[in-house]
Amino acid sequence: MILQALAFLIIFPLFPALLALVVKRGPLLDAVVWIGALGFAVAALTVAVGYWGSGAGLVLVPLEAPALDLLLLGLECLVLVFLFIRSLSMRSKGGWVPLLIAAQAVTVLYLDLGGALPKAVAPLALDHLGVLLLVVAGVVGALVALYAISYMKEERQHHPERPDRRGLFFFLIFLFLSAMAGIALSNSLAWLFFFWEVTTLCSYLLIRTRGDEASIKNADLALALNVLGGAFFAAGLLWLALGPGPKTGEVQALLASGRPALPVAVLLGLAGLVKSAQMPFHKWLLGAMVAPTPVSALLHASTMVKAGVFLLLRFSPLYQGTLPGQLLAGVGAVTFLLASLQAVGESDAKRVLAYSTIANLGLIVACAGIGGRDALWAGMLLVLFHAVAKGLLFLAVGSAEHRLGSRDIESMRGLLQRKRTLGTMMVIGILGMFLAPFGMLTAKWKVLEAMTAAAPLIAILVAFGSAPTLFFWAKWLGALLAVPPAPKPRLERTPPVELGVMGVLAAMTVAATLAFPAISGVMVAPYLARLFPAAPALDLMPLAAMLGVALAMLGLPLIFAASPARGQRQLAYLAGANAGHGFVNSLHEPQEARLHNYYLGSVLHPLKLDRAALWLGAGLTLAAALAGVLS
Amino acid sequence: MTPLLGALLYVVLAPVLGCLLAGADRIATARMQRRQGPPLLQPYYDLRKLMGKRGAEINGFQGYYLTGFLLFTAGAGALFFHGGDLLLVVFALTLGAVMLVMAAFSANSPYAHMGAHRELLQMLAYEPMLILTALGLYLATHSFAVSAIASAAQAPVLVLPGVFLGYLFILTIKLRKSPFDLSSSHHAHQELVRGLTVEISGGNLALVELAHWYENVLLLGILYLFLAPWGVAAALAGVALCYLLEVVVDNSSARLRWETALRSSWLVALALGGLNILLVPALQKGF
Amino acid sequence: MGNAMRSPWVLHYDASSCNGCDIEVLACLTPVYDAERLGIINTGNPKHADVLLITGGVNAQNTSVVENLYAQMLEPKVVVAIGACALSGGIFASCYNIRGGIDTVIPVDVYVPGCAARPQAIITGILQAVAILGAKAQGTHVPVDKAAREKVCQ
Repeated sequence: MILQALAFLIIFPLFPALLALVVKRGPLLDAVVWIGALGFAVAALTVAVGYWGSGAGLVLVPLEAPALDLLLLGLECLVLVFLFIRSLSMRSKGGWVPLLIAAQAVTVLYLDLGGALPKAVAPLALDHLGVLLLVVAGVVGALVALYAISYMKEERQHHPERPDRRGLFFFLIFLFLSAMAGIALSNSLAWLFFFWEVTTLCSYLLIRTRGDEASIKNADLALALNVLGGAFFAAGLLWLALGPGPKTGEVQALLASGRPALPVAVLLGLAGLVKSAQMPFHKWLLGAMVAPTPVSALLHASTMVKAGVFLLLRFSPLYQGTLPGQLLAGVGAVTFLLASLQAVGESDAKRVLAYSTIANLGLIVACAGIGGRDALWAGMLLVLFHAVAKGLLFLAVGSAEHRLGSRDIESMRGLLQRKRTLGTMMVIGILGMFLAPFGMLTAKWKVLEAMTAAAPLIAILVAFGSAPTLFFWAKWLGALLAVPPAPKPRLERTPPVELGVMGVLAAMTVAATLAFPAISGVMVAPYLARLFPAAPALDLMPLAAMLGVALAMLGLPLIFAASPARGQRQLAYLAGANAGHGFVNSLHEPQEARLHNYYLGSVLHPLKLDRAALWLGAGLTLAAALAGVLS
Repeated sequence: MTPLLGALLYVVLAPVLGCLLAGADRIATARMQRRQGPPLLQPYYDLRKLMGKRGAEINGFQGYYLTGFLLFTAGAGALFFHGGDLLLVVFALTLGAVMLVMAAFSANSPYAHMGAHRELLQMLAYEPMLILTALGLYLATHSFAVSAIASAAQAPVLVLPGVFLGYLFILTIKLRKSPFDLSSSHHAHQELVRGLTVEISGGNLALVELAHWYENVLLLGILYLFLAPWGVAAALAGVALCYLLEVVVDNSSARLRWETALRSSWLVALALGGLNILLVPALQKGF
Repeated sequence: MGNAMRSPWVLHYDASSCNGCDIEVLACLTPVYDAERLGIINTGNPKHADVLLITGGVNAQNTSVVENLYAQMLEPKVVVAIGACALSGGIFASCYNIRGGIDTVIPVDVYVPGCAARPQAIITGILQAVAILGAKAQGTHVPVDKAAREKVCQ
């Protein structure tokens, strides 16, 4: 029964994927996407609710199917060959990418066919961590797919000169969702590697969607770095097969082996760092912002990058209390600080969101590296809250870009007044990212509390990184909330599908905050109780205060809606020289007052953050790798 | 003192204390400038006058943001005097401060816009040290709960000299005193250096003043935590001395450029706060 | 005393003054005359101010500015015209660009004569204005008939 359900989750999305390739466009494509997305989401939620309700712990699903293993091996080789051929034509990158791909193919064939890596007895498994990723992929994935129907239609209208590749687009989206289900449910390291590479493939092709110079260049960069990550993964598998230590093909068995499995866990953790765009591997995520909004929202904010931290969270019990674990946490914390600082200097909304994603993933990596009950609690909840809020923000920015013709934050000034609903969605997304009482803040609070005793240096880095996040979010929020004195030209209506999807995500952001204790108790606590049976109960009393704050925040507008307006509107203070909505300048001409945000270039440029990111990130990653293999 | 009583007393008495504190501040400043200064209750008269003003607002949303500012600032203080989680108090205070900044942004006027940015710069400057203060107090007393910190056996200031000094440094920013009165100066009242409240008037401005009183009592309360085990009299005397020091610094320094303010705050936070935190276990062994 | 009278916040504006009266206004805020003991704060913002201290006469350029600043002040508010130029244009009254004193554009409540007006006179003027402010706040203020008012400077 379980096997059928899990298999359904992995196999079902392939049907809408192939249908999309065949149907290619029109209302039939829309129908395929609707049914595929809703079907996947319902299936994921059904499995999740069933699992949570059953109170089960770790569920291993044995499967004896050598033909399946061969099939997956064959598909993996196909994927690697495809990527190999593509990488040969890469213009900017060096020749090492095809070499690495070839090396990975050889490794995989050797390990699988040569029998050096034992076959997994139970290739699939289900536990709370996996279900968490599954639910995120299922719900957010389905919502983004629905949004994409409307968004890609508009893309078509705005850029009729580009070829209409929507069939391929949705094929890749559903293939990706299948791969994410595979990652969430795999207990076999070989299968995990396969699904991992499929996500690399999907990401590469999806970044390339628009087909212009920038897209191709950035897709190549993403491929190059993700291939490097895959090489780390393969290296881990090689170490597992050839090195000292446990010989097993299963993730759970690896975890159960304890300390001897640390080198493998660290190498696989490095693959996770690359997938989650940690420094020094973060450039590919920034470059991936050239892709259409649904790609950015789904792959590069909510789901694919979560696969990386998922792997790190999975191995966190092995990292806890070890030097490699602390170094990995250091990578995460430094990434959090430097990415947050760099976001302050950006005015392109998608780049701000990208840097923020990199930073928050860094926070989760820090949680995984340090480990322990509280840190893991915070890390898992960060996965959930970040996926929802960041997904919402990307979609809102995408819709705003189509309305405004620009995704610069300066052009979004006054958006709440100009587009009430879209503006509200964006505001809720931003609030959800940094402000109490929303989930992200609560999780960050717990991170700080968990880190202070266990790793004060990490806590200090997080404290410093916290401040710039406040700066750039408040700056953006302020631009949205500005009430422009002069009415600006009307904007087109946002398509209802887009608003609907955003509305669901916004409702989820708010509801998740209000239902925080329930979410913690159902989705996360049982997993932690199993891993840390001796730990005292989680003290969630302070959250009661937070909930009070939440209710006050939501209740305030109602009070204000009821109170009467206080009088006529005043003019802005412009030293008495107001003229219409602007002022009279020193040449006695009327001039509009134009506002521009601060980007702190004078302070940030001398810090050479890009270089610092590369050196610090590379140094810490190398140190972690060395510490791991030498342990 | 039960937690609930503490919170209630704070909500009722903090405005009174804050008002007297502000008045004493102005009198001390005046005496340092060899003049008489206003009556002690002058801030109260100012508040009542503001509440009595009639007229227009720049937009209909400021009242909402500023009520939120007052509510969450007072709420943070109430949580503090309830004995709650210190880190949550810091984040609730941040929430209130963001509401004030939003009130200024919503006005969409040049001076308010710049003032809001300068306020955000101040927040960028003091936030790390504020969080490090909470982390430091945790390391010294093994609890984030204010009730536990206040009843610690050993005065936290003994193992947290750096954090204490760092907190005093950013207290200058939080109290809006020179050399860090970049966005809401007490002395100059216009355009760039008071841009934050340029478009806020009348009853709304009264909300801001009231919230500042609540906030000042809370900030001095955090200062008190460092000295609490020495007894009420000694700790209060220490707090009063530190506040006097802030007034002296205010009167004897010129305003810094924001780049300098930002860099020096982060440097102090790192050098005094961060270093101290890393050394706390060693210092604790020493004592 | 009403609350408005105990906390008169001042906006100081130089319409077209030679700065002589402005320097004297500034002197009021210094330790020697210490206007703050009366609760006076020099705000630079009409939205925060109760009392508008104006020096200098009205010309074509600053007519709109004076009206603008006066309009941005919240009720109750009073205007104190300081110096001969603010009363009637003073020594520049017959110049081609000067329209006259401040009361040609906004209603003035207190006139402080002098060229330059002395700080003691300015503070007295402010206190008289503060009394009028209190009356306005309580709704008991009776505006003076302009024609019946004695002119100090011709």
